[in-house]
Amino acid sequence: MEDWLRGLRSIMLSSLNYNRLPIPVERGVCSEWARGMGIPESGDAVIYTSCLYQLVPYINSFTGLMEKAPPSALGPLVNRLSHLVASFARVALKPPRSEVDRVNGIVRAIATLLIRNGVKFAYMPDEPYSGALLYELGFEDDFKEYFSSVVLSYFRSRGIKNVITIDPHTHHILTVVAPRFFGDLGLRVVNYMELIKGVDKAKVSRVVIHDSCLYSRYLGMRNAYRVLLEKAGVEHVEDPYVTGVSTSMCCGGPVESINPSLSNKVARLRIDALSKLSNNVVVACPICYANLSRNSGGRVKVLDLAEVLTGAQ
Amino acid sequence: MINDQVKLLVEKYSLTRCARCNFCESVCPTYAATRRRIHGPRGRIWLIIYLSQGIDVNSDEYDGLLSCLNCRACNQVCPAGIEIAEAIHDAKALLVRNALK
Ligand code: SF4
Ligand code: SF4
Repeated sequence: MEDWLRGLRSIMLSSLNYNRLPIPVERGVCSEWARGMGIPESGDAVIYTSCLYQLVPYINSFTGLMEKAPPSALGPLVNRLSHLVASFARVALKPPRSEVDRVNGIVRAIATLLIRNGVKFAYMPDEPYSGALLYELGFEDDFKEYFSSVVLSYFRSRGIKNVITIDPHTHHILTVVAPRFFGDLGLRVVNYMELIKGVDKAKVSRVVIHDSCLYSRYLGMRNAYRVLLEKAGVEHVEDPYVTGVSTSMCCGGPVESINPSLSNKVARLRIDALSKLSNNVVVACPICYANLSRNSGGRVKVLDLAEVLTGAQ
Repeated sequence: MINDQVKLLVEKYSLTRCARCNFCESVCPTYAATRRRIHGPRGRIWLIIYLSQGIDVNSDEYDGLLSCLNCRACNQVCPAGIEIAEAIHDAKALLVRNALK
């Protein structure tokens, strides 16, 4: 396990060093979604994607790779050959184009919802990853160092004051974790769901919600997406156990890099439980999206909230 | 050294309040997946308590602690009100720091 941790840390740190993303992919993947949308690159408020949705297809390839070459084996190699990380990634992490298009579509759907609701915002083609994974895996010293030297200084040097988050991990880091370590960040952070007042009627009529543990049990936001679905005319089937606040189970995603087989098993059990309520599973988190869709086995359709609210799915 | 730091965690979260009732195991996704106590909240917090007493942890148990999802389902049902997910997160951070030394 120690070798595994060391290896995982080497991979993440050398990648963060190289491109400010937790896995070694080209930075261009983060901003492809904005092409042709006419969103400015500077403004009073910025959308902070943390590149999390955009990385999902690469995380899926990476997890597959890890099952063949675990971090305990890969890490030392990465340590020695860190300058080759980028070329390695180009060769090894090649997700299908359809997956890349799908996640870019989700970010575009979120941006579209904001635009339709009259929200003015800019995007940051070179935004750094929030560092959430470092914190969540227990690499707290690395998180603090990375967050203050990269993320905080990025926002400060650009004078950014208003941030719109689109996923629970980044929202949790900016509103709870980082202020605990660094005090007031000088940022006003809102989640995109808080800015959406009106939505059109959705195409799907009945779904089951898979709650993000962070939105539901850390951030007190489990009603935000329920209300939005209701506004879009979508019935969400509830069950005291499967979707209850205390008992709804996690997707397994948080341990995909520590124990991939356990993570997959948790996801499959979750799919079993959800599929009894509806074949349409709505998620509001890129990690839930990644882990559940990878393990759905075609039994359910995993839809992101923004896809449902824009009628894209 | 690590034992002393873990002792502080045991005190901070009053882990010995655990009554071994197992309510937490009934909602834990990793426990549901393996049915092994070390993959559940109760096993994880007792592991922290044992660590604080200087008892060695093997790699299987170590993996059990690190594979907590921090999903907080256990916190919601613990009649002793233990902040289980937070205690496990802090223990993870200590173990990780120690392992990387
Ligand atoms: S926080 Fe960890 S121990 Fe508690 S229910 Fe979730 S996975 Fe289990
Ligand atoms: S629910 Fe609380 S008191 Fe009961 S076994 Fe779990 S940690 Fe111990």
